[in-house]
Amino acid sequence: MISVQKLNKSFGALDVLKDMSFDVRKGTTSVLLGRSGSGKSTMLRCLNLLEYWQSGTVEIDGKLIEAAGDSVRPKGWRPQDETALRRRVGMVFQQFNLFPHLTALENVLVGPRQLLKVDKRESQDLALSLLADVGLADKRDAYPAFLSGGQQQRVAIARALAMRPHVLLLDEVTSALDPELVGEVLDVIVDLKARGLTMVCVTHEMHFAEDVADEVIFMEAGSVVEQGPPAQILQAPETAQMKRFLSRFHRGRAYA
Amino acid sequence: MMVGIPSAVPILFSAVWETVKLSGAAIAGALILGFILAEASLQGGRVAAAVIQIITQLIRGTPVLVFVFLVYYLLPVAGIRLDKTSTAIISLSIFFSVFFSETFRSAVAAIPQGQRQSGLAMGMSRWNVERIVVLPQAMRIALPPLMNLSAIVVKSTSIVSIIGAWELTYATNELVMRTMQPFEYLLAAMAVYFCICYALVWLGKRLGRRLNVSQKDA
Repeated sequence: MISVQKLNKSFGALDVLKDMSFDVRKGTTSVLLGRSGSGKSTMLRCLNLLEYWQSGTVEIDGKLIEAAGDSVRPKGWRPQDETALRRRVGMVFQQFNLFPHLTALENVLVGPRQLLKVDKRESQDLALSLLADVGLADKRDAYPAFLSGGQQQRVAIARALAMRPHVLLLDEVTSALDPELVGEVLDVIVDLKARGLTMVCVTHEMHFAEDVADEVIFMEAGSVVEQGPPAQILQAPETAQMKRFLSRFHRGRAYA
Repeated sequence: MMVGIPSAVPILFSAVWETVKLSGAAIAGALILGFILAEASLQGGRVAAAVIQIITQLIRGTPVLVFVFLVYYLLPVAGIRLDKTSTAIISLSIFFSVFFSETFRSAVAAIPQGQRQSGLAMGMSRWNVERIVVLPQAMRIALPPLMNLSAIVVKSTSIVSIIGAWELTYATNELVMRTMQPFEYLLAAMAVYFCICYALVWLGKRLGRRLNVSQKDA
């Protein structure tokens, strides 16, 4: 489903990603784990072309995408190709980014209605059933400002799902939430995983990796340090970096 | 009250109507031109933004009276012959377009980058991001200041009497000259301007509040 090969990305003189390579199989959930600044969010943004890279390739949803080099986008790749790909690769952000002038229902509806030109009734039904799936059918007419962080994030997930994506990218989706609201969002993601949606999640939170990952990809300084199933990576890490990352987390938890 | 000239009332009424038409046309022109300037300066690259910024600063530093005179004398030089009212509309539209444009621009700039990102990530084209995400939010922010600006345009129409465009101030002045009753006529004109401007500002506030149902503190 996704294959990243020797991807290099820099912002000016700063190398953010160095020879990144990893695969994500269809129907599985991979978690990119690492400290902030390790390049994991940038990696995720490359997967739906919010960023381009200088060398290497990304294959996603059957499309092989070359590096853009110094240009705005790769050779022969047009803005409408980006748009088409992004409709099949959904993304959910740390800060929810719901559209504040639209109700919960309208937020979910706007993609199918305005972009996919689904007719009014059908997109309304779709949006309502997605809101029900994330447990917010009763909030359909609420504006985002009147929803809690956890509710907003669940609407944001429903909004992404309304485009019927083949892949869902989750960028630190629980990091902006109060601890007691993390669970409700996590439940939704576990549910999506059970339905066989392919997902790539970025997080620096261990419980996220423990709960949803089929594969953990641990990154440091823009490279993959260690990867494998969570049982192996989190219980019996091989590299010194991974051990250090885990020990910091456990120390943090002891105080918490 | 307004003795001396029995026909004063109908004259005043048609003068008010003239001012309303003049204001409406100038506001519409400034809105459209201002929107185009704002979009050009936001989307048109660095050169366009710099040129528009220079024009903006120039006009901001010019008294509206001087600007109206300038347009009045420049148009014939450029081979454009227009009646005085059209000249007044054009000069006011251009003059105020830069103020409208700055209002649009700062409203658009106030929309967080994350809004655009999530629009793009859903598969919206750049145009769709503007149409669905940015502009509806920017309009809500811009509406009250736009209405305040419109009130200023209404008041500024009074100065085009200087190039001989007939409107409320021109008519008032004529009546004052003929009757030598300055206070009656000037206070009447003042009341008319006040009512129009107050209505605009009030409408702006009300619409702003109506559109902001999505905000908690509204």
